[in-house]
Amino acid sequence: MNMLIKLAVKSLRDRKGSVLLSIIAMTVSIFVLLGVEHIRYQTKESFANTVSGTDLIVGARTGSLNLLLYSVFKIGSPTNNISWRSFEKIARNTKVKWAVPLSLGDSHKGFRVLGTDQRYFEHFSYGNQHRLLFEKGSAFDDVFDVILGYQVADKLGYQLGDKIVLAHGIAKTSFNLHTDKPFTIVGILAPTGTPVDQTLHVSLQGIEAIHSNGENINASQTASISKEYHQHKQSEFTHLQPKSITALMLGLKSKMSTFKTQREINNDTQEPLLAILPGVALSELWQMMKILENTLFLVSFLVFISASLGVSAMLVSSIKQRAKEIQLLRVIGAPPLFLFYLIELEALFIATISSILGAVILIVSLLFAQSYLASYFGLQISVNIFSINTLKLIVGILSVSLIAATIPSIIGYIQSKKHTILD
Amino acid sequence: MTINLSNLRFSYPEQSHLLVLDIPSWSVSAGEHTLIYGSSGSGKSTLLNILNGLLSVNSGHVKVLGQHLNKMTSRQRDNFRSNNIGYIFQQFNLIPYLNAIDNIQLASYFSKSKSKSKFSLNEEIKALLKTLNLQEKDWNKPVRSLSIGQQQRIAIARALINKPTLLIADEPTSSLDQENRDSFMALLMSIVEENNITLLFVSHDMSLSHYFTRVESLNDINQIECEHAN
Repeated sequence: MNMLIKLAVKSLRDRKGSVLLSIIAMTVSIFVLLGVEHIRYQTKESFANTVSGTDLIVGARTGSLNLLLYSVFKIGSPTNNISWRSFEKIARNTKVKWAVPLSLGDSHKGFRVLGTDQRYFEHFSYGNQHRLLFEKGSAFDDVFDVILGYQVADKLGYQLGDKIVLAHGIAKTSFNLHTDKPFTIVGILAPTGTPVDQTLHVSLQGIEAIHSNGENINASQTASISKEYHQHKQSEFTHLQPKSITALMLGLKSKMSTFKTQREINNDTQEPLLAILPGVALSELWQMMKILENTLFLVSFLVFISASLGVSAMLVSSIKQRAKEIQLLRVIGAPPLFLFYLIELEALFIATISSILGAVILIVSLLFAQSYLASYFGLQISVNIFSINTLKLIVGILSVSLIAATIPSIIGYIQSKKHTILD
Repeated sequence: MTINLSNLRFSYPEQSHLLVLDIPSWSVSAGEHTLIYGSSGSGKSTLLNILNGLLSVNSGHVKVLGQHLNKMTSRQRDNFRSNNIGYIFQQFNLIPYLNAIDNIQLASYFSKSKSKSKFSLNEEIKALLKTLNLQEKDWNKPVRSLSIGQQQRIAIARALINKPTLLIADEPTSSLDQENRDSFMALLMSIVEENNITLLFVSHDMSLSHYFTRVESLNDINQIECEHAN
């Protein structure tokens, strides 16, 4: 082992107390810095990957961000519904290639329920134009069929054929269960890393069916009605045409007509509607998030700077304690530059150990927070924090701590240059 | 001549008007074992720092082992020191958290003569430690866990590893008790004799004078009056 490294390691070990505290301070700051960077990057990825191939999203008139958030990310609540007539009118438009209805408002054990139809599984795509794939089962063909997102099945331990009950509203515990109309699981989707994983998919007719008799249905009726529905399911299916939906997704025949179609929908005289381009709305979201992101990054960077200065302060005071050691090194022939390198190396060791610890703690905390972030915020944050970005950041961290350590190193250099044996 | 001083004048830059050393002429010839005695504050350590090249003089000539120290760069002096001069202090001769072997290796690390292989260096260190009556079980302990007597013996080993021609000892016995001091002195003198090393030994303890071939008072060498010295 090189003498310089050996000396740096052993002298750090010799000052365990203050070095350990410095490492803890540094670790916390690096944990925050890496965490903020990783989460902001992953959030963007996760949001940007959630919807692709959809040209327009249409909903009731509201803010474009709001519409995007509740229709695609299932964050927040819809302000208003749009009529089925409007859906049909838009779907018939000659520029429209496909239209997928979306109906929200129910939930199952905290997971949101999406009412839609076959077309959803044909046209919805995420990430780099990936289609939804079934891990088990297939799309619904019955009013009371439900298809689970991957996480829903995984977390709740559901299998194909299980019967589940939906609740009105989106709270995790609802007093308003649609207990009279249990749904059968007919399909489970493959994981996508998008909010689809946290969603239960039923037909629009299913949504209509559970709401059709209102909430004041009594227990004795429940069983018979349920039976009745199942007996006449085919005929009921056609009768249960929804009167309104929450939003719809559109695919156009030509991208060129996007703005024209958007304008047509926005100027609809029959009903106040809002059509948005998901990409544009997302970039609006980034605009808003940017300030927050930058603030968070700045704060965590400042915390890191102060930790680096703390390490430097520790090293400066160690030089005072080690006056005799420095003097001895000089007498046995160490040039002042050796002292400079020694102190820089000590700072580098502290920063390296802290970076490793910070990264490990971040990975462990992500492991624990992952499912929470996914189910409460619809954020898919990967545990793998090692990207080009974080590697750059770690290199930056090490450089900054080396720069901060030049202060004690220069002091050490000067000290050792004039150090002589005193009488 | 191992040491040759002429017209040496020195003052610290912080108090440039206060002359600490004024030595018109003084020399030590090769193989001499010299004891310099003087009370503390008489400029002993300043003189030693000039001889080992840590301080440079205002005027005059400092010739050690035929080299003009005041004509060297500080880097050259660092090299010169680690290659040619062994040094033993009163205390803090060793890095306390390193073990005996590491401490001695460290001294050899800064020396030019590190061309020898790691293996032969380690053999040499072990042989030295054996000569100095250090038990093998203590070689790998941090030196701070050893007694002061043991530490001073390791200090001799450290000072000798680069085969210096001049050994400077600055009150190395004053933190030792009578018994340890005698065995330390006996050991030091026998090693110095054996390796033909010039010894410059500074102490206030006149009772050691029988070990030396030459005994001098710093007050005789230095023309500055004691009261002014510090």
